[in-house]
Amino acid sequence: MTHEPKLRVTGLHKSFGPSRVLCGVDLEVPAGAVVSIIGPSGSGKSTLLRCVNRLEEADSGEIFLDGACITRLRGKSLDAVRRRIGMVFQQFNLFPHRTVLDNVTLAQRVVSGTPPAEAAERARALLARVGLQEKADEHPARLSGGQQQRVAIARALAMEPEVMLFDEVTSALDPELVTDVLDVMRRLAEGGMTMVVVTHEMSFARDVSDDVLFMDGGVVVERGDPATVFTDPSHERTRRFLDRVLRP
Amino acid sequence: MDIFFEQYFDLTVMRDSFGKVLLGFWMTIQLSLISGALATVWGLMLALCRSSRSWVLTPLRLAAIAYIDVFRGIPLLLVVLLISGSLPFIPVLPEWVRAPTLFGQPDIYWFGIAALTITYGAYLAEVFRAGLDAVPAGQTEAARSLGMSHRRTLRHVVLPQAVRTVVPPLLNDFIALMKDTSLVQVVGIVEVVRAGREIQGETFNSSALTLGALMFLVVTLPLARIVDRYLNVHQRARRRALA
Repeated sequence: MTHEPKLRVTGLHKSFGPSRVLCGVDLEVPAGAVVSIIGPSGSGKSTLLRCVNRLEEADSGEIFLDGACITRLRGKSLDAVRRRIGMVFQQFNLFPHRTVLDNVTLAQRVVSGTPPAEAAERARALLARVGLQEKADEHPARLSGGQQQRVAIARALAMEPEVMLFDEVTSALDPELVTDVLDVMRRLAEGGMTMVVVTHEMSFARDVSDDVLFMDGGVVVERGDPATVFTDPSHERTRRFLDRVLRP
Repeated sequence: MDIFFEQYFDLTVMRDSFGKVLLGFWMTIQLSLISGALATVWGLMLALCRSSRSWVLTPLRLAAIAYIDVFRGIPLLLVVLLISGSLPFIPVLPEWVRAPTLFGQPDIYWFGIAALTITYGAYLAEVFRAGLDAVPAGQTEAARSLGMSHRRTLRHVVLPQAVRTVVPPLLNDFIALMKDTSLVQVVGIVEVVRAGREIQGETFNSSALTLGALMFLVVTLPLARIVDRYLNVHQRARRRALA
């Protein structure tokens, strides 16, 4: 019996006008695995992630969730698939006109039709999980970047996704706020969540991932377990990149 | 100097004409509120058509753009005349368009409101469009990634934020609309300016018009202050958000 991975991407191509951002990318994420994607900016990491939940439309290639092709879904079935894929953004994108609690409950209420009391209860439990239960009634503007990002993670988790996508979620944060967010992600990984993490946090990629992908110029240059990729990369491009980012 | 004062601030004229001017002002208020509300709804619909990205709605988008361009570009007075001067004489039109008598109001009343709504709908559409554009794309992406449909994203995430940012320009346009109601007097509606003018013609004195101006200010000055207050609060909130 073959084990179909939770998420599978094959031969993904994407261009923005004349610039080719993805040139045939494959990705496999087994259920419960954490896959980190590293690489220089402009290498196509974020675009790959955005194609997976169809915020960008790939020019060609296929995306499978639990073996079902989701590449050409539209309308309601696309909305339904997106509920199963949580996404956290670099810029948090919390809804500024809503309280923290409302941010976490909104989609549950309007999409899943969860009764408000039940949605609020679940939201408070999730906020407690990211250490922000006492901020439930604040507006996002009153929170630090790190706190906002943790709320964004809680908001995505509220839909009980099967896969979580993290798009450089600590890149817009002050260094001292990064740890709290990474801790939340680490605990999520330990809890068995399937995760795809685009990141510049090399220690996170090394310590938490099951698999590391190094992307450059729209292709996956190297993939493997973190120990191998970080200590003994087989490609010159990977080595140069790691030398540059790991040098203090 | 006395003559000047008498021409504009003759208290006897003001007292004698107060009832008539106030009645005119009541008409001004009615025209403003009704066409203001209609133009807001109409303008929002136009803005949503214009901002649609879907190719299916391309004809609707082009129609909205054409409409806005035309009615922003021609004078309100002209629209008033086009409507009131010819609609009654086009027999193919249904009765309620040719001679509307809704709520017991005469047709000229509704022609005036129609003209104000048509013109200000175009202005307000541009205000709303700016508001919609000001909502960052990340907001839509976040909502969609949670599985919210396009419609729900618009209703729960984009529109509430867009409307908040456009409250000040909306109020400014509402002040402008209120002043422009004076143009519909050409079709025979006796609103505050027309009322004042009739008294001016009888008394050779402008104090009734001054009185009308004062009545305008009673409404427009507080509105202007509300805009200022709102902008201040909003700016403070935004600074805090960026800090």
